Amino acid sequence: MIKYMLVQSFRRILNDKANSLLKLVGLTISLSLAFVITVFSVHELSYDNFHANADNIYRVVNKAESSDITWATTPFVLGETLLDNFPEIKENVHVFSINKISVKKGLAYIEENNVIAAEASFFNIFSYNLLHGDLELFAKTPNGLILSKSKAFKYFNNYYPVGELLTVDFEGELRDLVVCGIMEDFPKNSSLKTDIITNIDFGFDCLMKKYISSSENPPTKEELKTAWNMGVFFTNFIMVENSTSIINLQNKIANLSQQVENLSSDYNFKLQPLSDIYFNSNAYADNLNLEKGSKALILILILLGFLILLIASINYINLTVAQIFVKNHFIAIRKVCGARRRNLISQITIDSIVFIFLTVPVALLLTFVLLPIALNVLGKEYQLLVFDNGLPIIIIIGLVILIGAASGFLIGLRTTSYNAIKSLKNQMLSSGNFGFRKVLVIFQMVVSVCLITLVLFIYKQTNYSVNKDLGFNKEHLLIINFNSQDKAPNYLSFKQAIKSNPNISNVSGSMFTPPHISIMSLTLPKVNEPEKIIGISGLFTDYNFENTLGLELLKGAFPDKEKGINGVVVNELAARELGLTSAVGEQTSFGEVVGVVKNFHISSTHNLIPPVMIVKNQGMVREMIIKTSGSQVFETIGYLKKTWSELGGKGACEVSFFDTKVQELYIADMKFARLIMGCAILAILIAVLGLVGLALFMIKQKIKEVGIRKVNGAKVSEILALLNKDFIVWTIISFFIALPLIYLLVNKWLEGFAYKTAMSWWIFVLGGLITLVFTILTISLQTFRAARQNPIEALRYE
Amino acid sequence: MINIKPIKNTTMISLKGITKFYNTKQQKTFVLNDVNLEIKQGEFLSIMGPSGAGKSTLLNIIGLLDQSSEGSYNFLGEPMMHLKEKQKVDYHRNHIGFIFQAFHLIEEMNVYENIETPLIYKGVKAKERKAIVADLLDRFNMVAKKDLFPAQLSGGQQQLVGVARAIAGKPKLLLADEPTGNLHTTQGSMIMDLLKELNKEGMTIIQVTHNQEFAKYGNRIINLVDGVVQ
Ligand SMILES: Nc1ncnc2c1ncn2[C@@H]1O[C@H](COP(=O)(O)OP(=O)(O)OP(=O)(O)O)[C@@H](O)[C@H]1O
Ligand SMILES: [Mg+2]
Repeated sequence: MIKYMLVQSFRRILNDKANSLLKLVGLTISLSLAFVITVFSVHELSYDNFHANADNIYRVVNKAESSDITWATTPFVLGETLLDNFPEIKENVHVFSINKISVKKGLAYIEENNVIAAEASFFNIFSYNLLHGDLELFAKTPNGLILSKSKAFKYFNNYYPVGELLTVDFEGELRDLVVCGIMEDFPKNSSLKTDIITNIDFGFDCLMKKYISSSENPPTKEELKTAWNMGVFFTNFIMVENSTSIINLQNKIANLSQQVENLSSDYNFKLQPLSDIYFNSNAYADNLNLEKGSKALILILILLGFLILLIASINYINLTVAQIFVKNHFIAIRKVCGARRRNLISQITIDSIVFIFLTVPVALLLTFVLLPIALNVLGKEYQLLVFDNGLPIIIIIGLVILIGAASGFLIGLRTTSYNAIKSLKNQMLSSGNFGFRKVLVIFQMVVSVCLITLVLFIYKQTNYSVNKDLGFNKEHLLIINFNSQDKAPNYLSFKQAIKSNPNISNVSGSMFTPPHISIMSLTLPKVNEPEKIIGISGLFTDYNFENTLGLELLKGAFPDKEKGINGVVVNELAARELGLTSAVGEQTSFGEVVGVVKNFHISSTHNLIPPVMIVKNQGMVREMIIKTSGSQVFETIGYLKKTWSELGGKGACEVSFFDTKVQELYIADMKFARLIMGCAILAILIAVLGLVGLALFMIKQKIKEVGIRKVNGAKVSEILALLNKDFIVWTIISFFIALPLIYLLVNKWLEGFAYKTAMSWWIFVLGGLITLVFTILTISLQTFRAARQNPIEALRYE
Repeated sequence: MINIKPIKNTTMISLKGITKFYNTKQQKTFVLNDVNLEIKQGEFLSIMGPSGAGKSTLLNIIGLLDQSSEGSYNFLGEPMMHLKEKQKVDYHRNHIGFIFQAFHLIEEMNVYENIETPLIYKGVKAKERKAIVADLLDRFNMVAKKDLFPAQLSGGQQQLVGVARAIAGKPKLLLADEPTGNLHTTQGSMIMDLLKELNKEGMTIIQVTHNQEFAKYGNRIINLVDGVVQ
């Protein structure tokens, strides 16, 4: 019986190839999109779940009262203290981020990123597999390291280089490290990714060198290990006994300051579950370069995937219903042969499941192509394979059966309720089924209009953000990256050298050039209430910063080395926040206030302008800011690059335009726009396929009417109006249904911005018009042919 | 061989005061007006009449595809008014077969499968189905054509398949609405000979026809004019 039904299904599909193709294309595209989203979501949701002890692993974090951010780093000494005080904590590991080191291979040095230092307990807590070697040896060897399998092969051409030496260059110092073990490469769904784990002792060496050696009296290693005020270098992970009450443990840890000497009450330690780290660490300051994910993104994707699948399913339903009504004795003959409604509905349901299954192979192929593109649009650096995991294919097959069964059932209900005799008499059942079809088509159009308009708004907002008046003169600014100081020439001599160039009118530098993606927070006492500590944004800059950017001075003067004006500049908000009265001349913990400037944008339009204090510190400059005359820009850049190497700059001189920097702030927004745009295009494409199909059916139904009207002298334009009328009315209805939805959507999306573009009415109209034009074009391509046809031909169809 | 043993001269169909009207523009249009008709088992009845007289409507009411507005209809002693959908299907499965002017074969099924369809819906076992279909193919000389699709057959051949499908389930009553309307005379006569033969084997047949010659194949002819039996 099933075989009989399957064969029939296939024959029916082949019998109406055009219709089947329209349905297939839409379903295939949407299914492969669903496939991509499923593969992506399954991967994202699996982050860090491969650790056998996942449920018992916590990261100790510090939510300081005085600041918005949560520090994911805690003092080194905290680890031992916890282990000593709480028996329910079984293991602890300190992880230190060495980040970049250069590894010698032959004569060359290769830079390795994400290098960490940790104790051997790292491998007891986390399920990263050690393939060869010995953890005890690793624990005992201060210059030991564990290497990933792929790096072992990269540096030693074999997978077992245990006992071999690896020479590394850390900030100019050569060290030989001993390979104590080989570990499997970290899985893709590990939020921590590293290929080299050194003994924690080497981490301390790096720490001493990297951070402390510049200071005047550096602390010793021993001091670093025991100091409670060194809270920003190490990440403490702990593993607790099964079924430990974390709330209790957290409370006990909160009271630790009463028992432990020197533990400042400014710390507020919390335990963050491992499973929480990937998705919920956006407001955390961590230094391990952990990958971060977004649940909201996954939710949006799943929603979009569903909408597009729904649109394709609606096409399938609409076109199949139309197909059955056109071959209107499909149902009747079977009824006369003794089929019950139940038989017919199950036949149609099987048809639908078979049909949708047909899309799976092509959808799969398409998924292979789409997946890397999608990951790129989403800004993910990892690559995924469709069959990394069996779950997505199971979900997709489940989805196919579900869609097939649901749409088949709906089609069955819709088409079998008619009296058999009506369809045997060859009456077109046009009037009744259009209501049903209308609802479905309007739904598709509403989704299309919503997505298009949302994309328009995202572009409008981004455009607004990029071009917004920042409160300073952003014309003709160039930025040079001075981030890696060992590669750049000396900042001051470079500055001195280029100042004389006639095309350069002003030179200064800063930690970062506003507006910037992140801001730095300073904590300092209020001037009028010193017991009150407040946080304001800090900007460490070189002299002449204010003039170079053209900040507007409201009071006092800008700091000037030559004129001997030294001190800090605050913006209006900071002056108020600090409780300054006359401002100029008042003392803060960062120096005397010498000037007040008008508020200016220090970060993207997502954030309100904060209170800002500009502090002079040439040592913290990471970006040089150059104001040019605006003419001969490329000559000027050439000159800068030449001077860079003349003055001993080793790396490339990275010059960027200020505007480009500003645009980079909105990369995430643009990615989101591209994502929505991609989905909008797919949604419209699929909806259009459905419209083509419906137009073809409608033309079949009205071909005689068209012929008769033409014989009676109707013009082509009148015929077109007749044929397009329904579709235009549907689009207009959809537009009005979509209006409030778009308003809500855009409003919701704009919530993420402190400075918003206006919700101009013309964008709404434009979104509607685009959809209307699309619809009319698509439909007219079909109807125009029908309208142009010789009426005699049309009437011959009788 | 189809083998139905009716008890001759017992009443199969009894129509009393059958009236059918449509409400059009606030006025009743009568299609059938007080039709009274008795049809005995084993009869071969031909219904004639001008176009629009209500012949198809009457046939459809008898075949439970349509419902009369007034009157009573008994089939094999059972009242047929107000049957549930499910009960109607049972009659279609077990007692009534149809042949149409437009053949109405299922285009995505080959000859064999078209004939087999009612048997499948009836729930006949596969083995038995095979035997019945093979018999019919044999009888109608269609064995060589069993794998062809309707579009590959001539009109007469298509109607042969239509007849085979209608009688596959061994119905007691065969309803034929202008079975020869789309056929040439020679092909028409072939179909009529076939119906006559079936009738001889005991099947009750009601046909609607415009053809005087073909009407004579029946053992009774009635004329329907403006919804009234003359
Ligand atoms: N849904 C309907 N509404 C109104 N009138 C109808 C409807 N269906 C059929 N009729 C009318 O019923 C009448 C009888 O139709 P029927 O099909 O029974 O005629 P017929 O005798 O079979 O004609 P023909 O020989 O042309 O097939 C016709 O006049 C037709 O217009
Ligand atoms: Mg008729």
